[in-house]
Amino acid sequence: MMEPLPYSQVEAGYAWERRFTVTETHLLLASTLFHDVVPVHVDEEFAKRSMFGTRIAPGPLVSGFLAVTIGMQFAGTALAYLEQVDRYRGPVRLGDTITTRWKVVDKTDKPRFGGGIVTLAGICSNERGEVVLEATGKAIIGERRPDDDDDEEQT
Amino acid sequence: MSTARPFPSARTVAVGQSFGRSLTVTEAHVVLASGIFGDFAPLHVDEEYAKTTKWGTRLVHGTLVTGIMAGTLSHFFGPNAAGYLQEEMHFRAPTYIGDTVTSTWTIDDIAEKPRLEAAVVSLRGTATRSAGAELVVEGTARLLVRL
Repeated sequence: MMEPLPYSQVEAGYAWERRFTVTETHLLLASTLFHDVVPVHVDEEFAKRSMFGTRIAPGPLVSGFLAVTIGMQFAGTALAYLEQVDRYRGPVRLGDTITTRWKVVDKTDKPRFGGGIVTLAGICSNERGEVVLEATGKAIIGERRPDDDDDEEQT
Repeated sequence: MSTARPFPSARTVAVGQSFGRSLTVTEAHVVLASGIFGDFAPLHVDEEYAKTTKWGTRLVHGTLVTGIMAGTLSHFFGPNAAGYLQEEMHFRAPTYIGDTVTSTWTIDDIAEKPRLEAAVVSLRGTATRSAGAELVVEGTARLLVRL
């Protein structure tokens, strides 16, 4: 697994991305887990006649793709995810491949956490380049995983 | 044949009205949420690692909780929910496997958009966990609801 990024290596302008293809499995499990069972998510015949033309994903599935894009980059150094603001700009349809991108806009040192608060701007777009979600996020990032301490002492 | 409950529309709800529901978050939720989000951070999937942290066990994904909160809006408005516009979610405390999460929303504003035959409904909401009714997420949301 990729090494998690420590707070000291985070700079304003640092950006990264991930990609996700939205499958039947995502729609079924997201609707089920969120208990979000409305026709646009589960009824293909209804969805065909809607403005979307096919079933669309629950918004929080895509919001979750954004959150995990932070979570995996900082897996182990992230101490807390504080907030996420999502502005939904367009539908995510079954079969779309979504690119999630985050860019660091600011960092504020918080020595008592052994790191600081990182503020990020995020965007999700589909394979046609259409923006489907714009977001901001805030997380507390530390220097290293707590269980790295032992390894440090041995070296 | 019984008649299905009519779903609320933007003109049958009022500012100040509250609604909500409760769901128990199980280990199955966390395993499946890791799968669909692709989130295999150790704090969600590695119990032995999680034991060494200050939380002592695996945590539920925050976006699973916000998904349940948004699902509560869908559940209430049903097919009259025409579009999810915006959400602002603040994560206040972790949610644990086995917690029953209660999601509650209150309507703050209803702005009719006659051209769309809908209204922008603004709400504020919370998610609390059963243990001590502790606040885990609070936020606001805006969605388009049919008239």
